[in-house]
Formats: sequence, structure tokens, C-alpha cells
Amino acid sequence: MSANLEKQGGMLGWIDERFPLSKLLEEHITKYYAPKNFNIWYYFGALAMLVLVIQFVTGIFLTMNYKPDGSYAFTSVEYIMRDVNFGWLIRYMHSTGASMFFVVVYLHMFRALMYGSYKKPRELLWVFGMLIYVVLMAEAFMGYLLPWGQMSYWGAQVIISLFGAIPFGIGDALTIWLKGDYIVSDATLNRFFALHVIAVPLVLLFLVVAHIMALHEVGSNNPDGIEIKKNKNAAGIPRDGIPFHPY
Amino acid sequence: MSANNQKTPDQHASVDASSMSNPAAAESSVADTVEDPKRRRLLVFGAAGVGGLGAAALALPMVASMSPSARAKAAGAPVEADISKLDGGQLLTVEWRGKPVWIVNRTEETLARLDADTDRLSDPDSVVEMQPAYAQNSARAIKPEYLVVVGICTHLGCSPSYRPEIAPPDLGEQWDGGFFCPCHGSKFDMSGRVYAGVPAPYNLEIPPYKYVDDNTIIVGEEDEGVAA
Repeated sequence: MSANLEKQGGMLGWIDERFPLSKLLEEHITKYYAPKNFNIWYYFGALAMLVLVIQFVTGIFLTMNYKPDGSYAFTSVEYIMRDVNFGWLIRYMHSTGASMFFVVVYLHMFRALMYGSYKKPRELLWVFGMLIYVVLMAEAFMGYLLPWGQMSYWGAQVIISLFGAIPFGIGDALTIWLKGDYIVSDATLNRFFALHVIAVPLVLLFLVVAHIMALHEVGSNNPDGIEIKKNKNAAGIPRDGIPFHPY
Repeated sequence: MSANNQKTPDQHASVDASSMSNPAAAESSVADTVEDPKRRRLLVFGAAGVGGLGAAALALPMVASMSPSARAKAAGAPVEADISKLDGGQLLTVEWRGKPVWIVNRTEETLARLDADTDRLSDPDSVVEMQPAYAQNSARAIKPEYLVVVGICTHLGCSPSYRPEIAPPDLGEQWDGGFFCPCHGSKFDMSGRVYAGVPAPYNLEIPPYKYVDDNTIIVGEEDEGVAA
């Protein structure tokens, strides 16, 4: 984007010759121009990233005390809530954070629908967003099983049963494969833990990076639908843009 | 750390704009010219295909590891039930694969009522495959007097209550005896057939089972072999 990258001296200059640090920072943050007519609806993308970071951090600290075992899972959650210093806070941040993630994402999606942000040239941006939404639901569903309480257990039972609706014997075989047993059991809990803490977050992170790269390629939409990249000054900077979003 | 943006002579082989404008550099560049496009395509698809096969071969054990383990299979093995002490109208629960399986000894009067009022049933002839072929009859059983049925509502998986009495005050005068699910009010008759107009879509499931002798039932095993 900004071709006129200034050479830095010292430590930063040394890094820049070996890794495009300043370039990345300028392209995506300090000299990434966002439309100046943004309104409050445009904060939810950045807020979703904030919630994602909160989920990652609190999640890491929760795994330090959680035990993904049918016999210990519930007691380890009790232990986190009662005996671990600030364990209650970390767990509530994680569980409430999950709910807030959806609140933020729904507002973000509503903004996209309201201002037509899914239209050309942002179709792929929208598709990445929808994939993030699906993966996020899977992530939340698997996390919901981990406390291994009644609500968790039967929630998992019902949602896994949905796959059983697929006809020709595929559904039944699929549910048994998903559960790793004939019922929701220790095997199910253990694999949901593995998927919840590493597999799905990796996919989510990849999709978020793709979503942001697609956004920065086409630029943000705005309430007036003006493509700011079509109106640039002599230095190649959009006239209707302001860098460093959310400014 | 002087900012030296000039390329050293040995760097010009890399593909960039400068090599395009320099004929000598373009000649030495591998990616720019393809001698035989067909051969290049074959090599690309061949390499991708072999790589794909390798990835699939590696994925196979991973996918298979998610199926029930030997231990889980052993825990889900067929279950034997002694029905010699089961009187008329009594219900016996055995656990098979973590599910309650009911064995009900139905009396002559109960069996007589099964065909009486089938209009109110959603699937009186058990067309939907919720039972093995040998249990697709009005009694939904191998021997009519013994009903063997999975005690889980086909709506959302609650366990219905056994209500064999006729027209109790809470279930109304229409009640002919059967199973009532307290979660969302689904009703089943004494063969586990669902009534029309309740949330449950299908009849209760009949598990695979067989008689070892007159007094012993094995749930989870059929004459053709152990159920999958």
C-alpha cells in the first residue's frame, strides 16, 4: 500500500532488512487507511478481535487447571471456581466472553447486511466471515461440553444427535464416530477438549487472518458506500481515509 | 547498515521485474519459460496426486482412531437378560450401550388392544425402520408377549415413563396404556408406537435382540450375528 517506506536505523532497521516488520505494521495498522465516515457499527470487527484475544488468554490459563477426564472434569471446574486464585474470574471471563463473542459477531454481521458490505468486491470477505461464524459455533459447542455437567452432557447429546438425521445409515455411523462410543462418554469429552483447545482455534486463527487480509485488500465499506481507494491524492493516499483504525 | 538496495550479481536469477527487462537474466530463469507445457502439467498433477495419496494414507489412521476403541466396544457388548421372573404387565430395564432397554411382559388383554385403535397412531405398521425386520409387526416383537424396546424418546432423548394403566386421571380417558414422555408430552402405545400429533416423530427404537432360550434374551445380538 504505502510504497514510500522510510528506512529506519538502529534495531528496527536491522530487523527490517531481515523481516518486513515496519512494512507489515504500516500496511495493516499505522498507514492502513479506513474511511473517515465510519460510525459506531464499524467498531465490532476490532472488538471481535479483542474478544478473541481474551478467549485465547483466559483459555490458556484455564487449561492449566482443567482435567479432560470423565471422572475429574466436573471436580476440576469446581476446583477452578473455588480454590484457584482468581480462577472464578478467569473462567467467567472465558464463558461470558464466549457469549459476548457471539453478541459482537452478530452486530458485526448485522452491520454488513445493513450497509451491503457483502457485495462486490467484498464477497470473499463475507464468505470468510461466514466460515468463521460456523467454526466459532463448533468451538463454542465443544467448549460447552467441557464442564461435564448435566446441561453440558445433554446439550452435547442433542446436538450430536442432529447428525443422526442423515439417512441411509450414514447418520448413525457418523454419530458413533463423532462420540467415539455408543453414548456421550469420556472418549467424547477427551476429543472435544483436544478440538476445543488446539484444532479449532488454529482453524479460527487462520480464517481470521484470511478475513483481515481480504479486508485490507479491498478496503472497508462505509455507510455511504464510497470506495475510498478510487479517490487518492498525489502520494497515493485515499483522500477520504484515516489511518490507524480504530482511531 | 547502509541501505543498499542494489542487487548483487548473483541475485538476478530470482524472478522479479528486473529479470524481465534483462534478456540474459530471463534466459537463466527457470520459472519463466516452459519447454513442454504438457510435460509440465503431467509433472504438476503427478506430484500433486502422489502427495494427495500420501496425505490420504496418513489421514486414514487418524480418522479410524476416532471410532470406538476396543475398550468402548467391549463396554457396548451384548447384554443378557433373565425374563423368567417377569410377570404380566411388569417392566424390566437392562442397560445396553449406555441406553435403557425395557423388556415388558404384555398380557393377553394388552396385546388385544394393540390393533383396536390404530387410527390415532402415526406409524401403526412400523414402516419407518425403527426396528429390525423381524420386529416389524403390530406387537413389534419376536414373541408378542415380550416387548423389547429402547427406552429413549425419539424426540429429544428423554426417557418416557411406563404408564400401563387405562385412562388415568392425568392422561385422560383416551389413554390405552403405553409410554408417556414427561419432557414434551410425547405418547407411545404398548408397542412403543408413537401417537399422531405429539413432538416425537418416530416409534420407539427396537434394538437388535434374540432369544437364547425361553427365559433368556440377549440384547445387541441377532441370529445373523452381533449387531454393528
